[in-house]
Amino acid sequence: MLAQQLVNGLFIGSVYALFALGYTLIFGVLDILNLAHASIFMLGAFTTLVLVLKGVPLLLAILGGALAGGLLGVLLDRVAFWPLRRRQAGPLAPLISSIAVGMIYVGTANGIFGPDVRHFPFDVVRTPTYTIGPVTFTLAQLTIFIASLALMAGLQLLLRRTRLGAAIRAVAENPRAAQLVGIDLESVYAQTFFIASALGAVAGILFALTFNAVSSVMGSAVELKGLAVIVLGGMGSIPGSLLGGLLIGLSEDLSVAYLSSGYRDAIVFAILFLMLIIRPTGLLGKRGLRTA
Amino acid sequence: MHALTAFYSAHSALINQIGVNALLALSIWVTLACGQLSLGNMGFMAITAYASVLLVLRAHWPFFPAVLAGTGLAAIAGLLLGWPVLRLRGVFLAIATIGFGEIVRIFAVNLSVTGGAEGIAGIPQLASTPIIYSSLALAVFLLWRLTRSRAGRAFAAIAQDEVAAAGLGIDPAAYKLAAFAIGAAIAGYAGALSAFSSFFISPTDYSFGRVVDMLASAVVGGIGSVGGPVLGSILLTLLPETLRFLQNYRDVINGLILLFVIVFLPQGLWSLVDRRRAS
Amino acid sequence: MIALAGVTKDYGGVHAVKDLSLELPDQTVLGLIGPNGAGKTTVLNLMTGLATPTSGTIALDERRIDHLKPHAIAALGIARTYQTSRLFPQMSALENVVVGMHLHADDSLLGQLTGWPPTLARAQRLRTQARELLGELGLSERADALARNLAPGEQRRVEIARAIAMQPRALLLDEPAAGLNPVETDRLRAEILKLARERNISVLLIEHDMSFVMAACERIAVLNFGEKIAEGTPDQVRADPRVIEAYLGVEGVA
Repeated sequence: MLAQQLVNGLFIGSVYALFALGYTLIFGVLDILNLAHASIFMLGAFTTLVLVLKGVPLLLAILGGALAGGLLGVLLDRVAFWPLRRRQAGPLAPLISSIAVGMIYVGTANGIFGPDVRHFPFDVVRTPTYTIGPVTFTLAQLTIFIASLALMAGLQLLLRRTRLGAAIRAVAENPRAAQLVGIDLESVYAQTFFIASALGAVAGILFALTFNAVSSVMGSAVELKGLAVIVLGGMGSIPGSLLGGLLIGLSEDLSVAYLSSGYRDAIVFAILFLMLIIRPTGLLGKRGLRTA
Repeated sequence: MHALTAFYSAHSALINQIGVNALLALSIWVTLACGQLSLGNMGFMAITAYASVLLVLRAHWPFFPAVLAGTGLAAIAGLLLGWPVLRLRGVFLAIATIGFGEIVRIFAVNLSVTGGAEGIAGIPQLASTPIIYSSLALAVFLLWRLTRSRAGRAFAAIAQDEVAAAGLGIDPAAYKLAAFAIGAAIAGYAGALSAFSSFFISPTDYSFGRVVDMLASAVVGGIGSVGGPVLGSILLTLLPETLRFLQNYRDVINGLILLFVIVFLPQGLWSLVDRRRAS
Repeated sequence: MIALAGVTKDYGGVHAVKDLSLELPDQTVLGLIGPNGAGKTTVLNLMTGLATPTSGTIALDERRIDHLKPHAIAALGIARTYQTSRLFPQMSALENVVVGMHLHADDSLLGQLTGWPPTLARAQRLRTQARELLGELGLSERADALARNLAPGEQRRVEIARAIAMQPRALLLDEPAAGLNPVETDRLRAEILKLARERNISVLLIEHDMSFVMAACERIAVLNFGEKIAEGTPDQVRADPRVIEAYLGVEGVA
C-alpha cells in the first residue's frame, strides 16, 4: 500500500514539476507571476486531442501540442507583457494582464469545445500494466515519469551548456548588464516564453493522458498546486521545481492514504504557507534572493 | 415610477450583486493602498458568510448582530493572517494569502457544520438592496475620508517606499496589519451580504476565481482612488450579463476588455473621470 | 547627542565599519568624509536602524538605539535623506512634506473619518505649514508638482524639507550636493545651515564635494576602509598626513 502510494505520488508529482517549471522559468527571468500558464497547459492538451482525433500518431500529436503551447506563450508575451515592459509598469499590471490572457485562452477553448470533458480514443491510451512486487503501474505512467525527468534534464542542460542558456541566465541575473554585453533582451524573453509554455503544454498533455480527460477548466486543477511546487522548491530553481513537484505529489498521495482525502489539498497549501513563512526562498532557492 | 419598479424587480439580483462586488473590490483595494497584494479575501468572505448564516439559522440571532459578529471574526482572522506574512512582499505575499484562502475553502468543503460541498440552503433574504447600497455608500465615504487622514497618508507612503516611510517615523508593520484587518472586515461583511441575498452558499462561492474578480475590478477601475474599484465592479459585473448572447465565448470578451484597460489605461477607468490623477 | 562607541559592522566577514567611535553633539554640523567605499553610508544606515551593528553601541543621549527599528529611531528625532531620492513618487512635493509631519500630525482619525470641521482645519494647517517650509527652500512654485516630475535638484530640496518637517533633533544628510552645479551647491549649503541653526538641529553631513564640507562643518571625521583615521576642525583635517595619504591619487583635499 505504502509503496503503491509512493509510486503514484512520484508519477503525478513529475507532471506537477514539469508544469511548475514554466512558472519558475518565467518568474526567474522576468520576475512575473504568469497566471496564464494554466490555460496553456489546457490548450496543449486540446491541441493534441484534436490532432489525435484527426488521425495523427500520438507522438507527433504531442509534439504539435507542445509547439502550439510554445507559440501561444510567445503570443502571450507579446500582447500581455511586452506593452507593460515598455512603459515599466509595476508588478501588479502584468499579473492582471496574464489573468486577462488566461481568460481569453480558456474562453476560446470553451467556445470551441464547450464545457464538457473530452476523452482520447480508448485504443490510444490503452497500455500494458506491470506489477513489480506490491506496485502496479502502467506503461503510460512510466513513460510520463521518464519523459518529465528527461525534459527537465534537457532544460537544465540547455541552461548550463548552450549560448541561449547563458543568455537566459544573464538576463535573469541582471537585464541591464546583459543588454550591455550585447544580448537581445526581447529575443531572450520570446525564447523563454516559448520554452516555458511548451513545457507547460507537455505537462497538460501528459496530465490529460494520465486521467484520459481534457476539459477547458483542467488548468484550475494545477494552477495553484504549481505555485505550491515553486514555493516549496524555491522560486527560479529548476532542481527545486523537480523536488517540489515530487514532494507535493507524494504528500498528496500519502495524505489521502493516511489522513483524509478531503483535506488533501489543505495539506498542500499548509505546506506552501509554512514554507513562505519559514523559508521564503524554498528548499533549493538562494537565501534572500528575492525576498526584498 | 411604475417602469422603475418593474425594472428593479426584474434586475434586483444583479443590482445587489453590483453592490456586493463593489464592496469586495474595495476590500482588496484597502490592502493595495498600503502596498500589499493580498489575495486571501475569498477566505474572509467565507468566514463571515458561514459564521453569520449559522448564527441566524442555528442560534437564531438577529441579522445585524450576526453579521457584525461574523465581520469581527474576519477582522481577527485578517490580523492572524497578516502577522506571519508581514515580511513577505509582492507575489510571495500574494501566493501565501491565496494559500490561506484555499485552506479556508477546503475546510468549508470538509466540515459538517458548513454543510460540506453542498453548502447551506434556505438562507433568508435579509440583505435588501437598501441595506447593501447604504453599506456601500458608508464604506466609500469612510475609505475616502481615510485616504485623507494621517493613517491614509501613512498607507500611501508605505505603498510607495516602505523604507522612506519608516524613516519618517511611520511603523509599517502596524499600518499593514491595520490594512489587513480592514480589508478582511470589508470582504467578510460583503460575503455576509452576498450570502443573505442568495438562497444558498457553498464552497465554490469562495474559490480562487472570486478573488481574481475582485482584483480585476479594482485594477480596471483604478487603484489610485476609492472611486476606481466601484466603477470597475459596475463594469465587470454588468459586462458578462450583456454578453450572454456570446454564450461560451463570453470570457474571451471579458479578457480582451481587461487586457485593453491594463495596456491602454494604466491608471484604470477612473482616470477618465478624474483627469487630475492621470498626468 | 548621538554617540557611536566602538561600532563594527561586518558583511560576510568584511568590515564595512570597524571600531568606530563618533559623537554628534547637539547643534553642531559634523562632516563625515572619506574615499568611495569607506563605509560612510553604512554609518548612516546603522544610526537610523536600517542596519544593526555587529558589535558596539549607538546611543541617543543615554538611550541605546542600536537595536531599535527605523520608525522608532525616527520617532526619537533622527531624520535623514538618501543618496538617491526616496521621495514618494506619486505624491506632490507638498504631500511628501505633509507625510514628513506624521509624528506631529494632530488631525485625529475619528475627526477625519467624520469630517469634523476642527479636525479638517488642523489638517489644513499642516498643509499650510508644509507649504511654508517648501517656500523656505525656494520651492513654492513646485509645491503641487508630482515628486517624480521634479528636477533632481528640486527633489533633493524636497527631501530635506520632508526631513525637517519631522522636527528632528538630528539630521543626517547623505551627499546632498551630489549632481548639483556649483551655484546650486552654494545655495543648498546656505539653506541647510540656516534651517539647522534656526531650529537647533544638529547635522551629520556626508559629502564628496570638499569645498562644501570645509565651508559648512565645524568638525570633520574622516573614514577610510571603515576606520576613522582623523577627526578635527577643517584646518586640522586638511593638514593631516593620513588624510592626504588616503585621498592621494583619488582627489585633492584642499
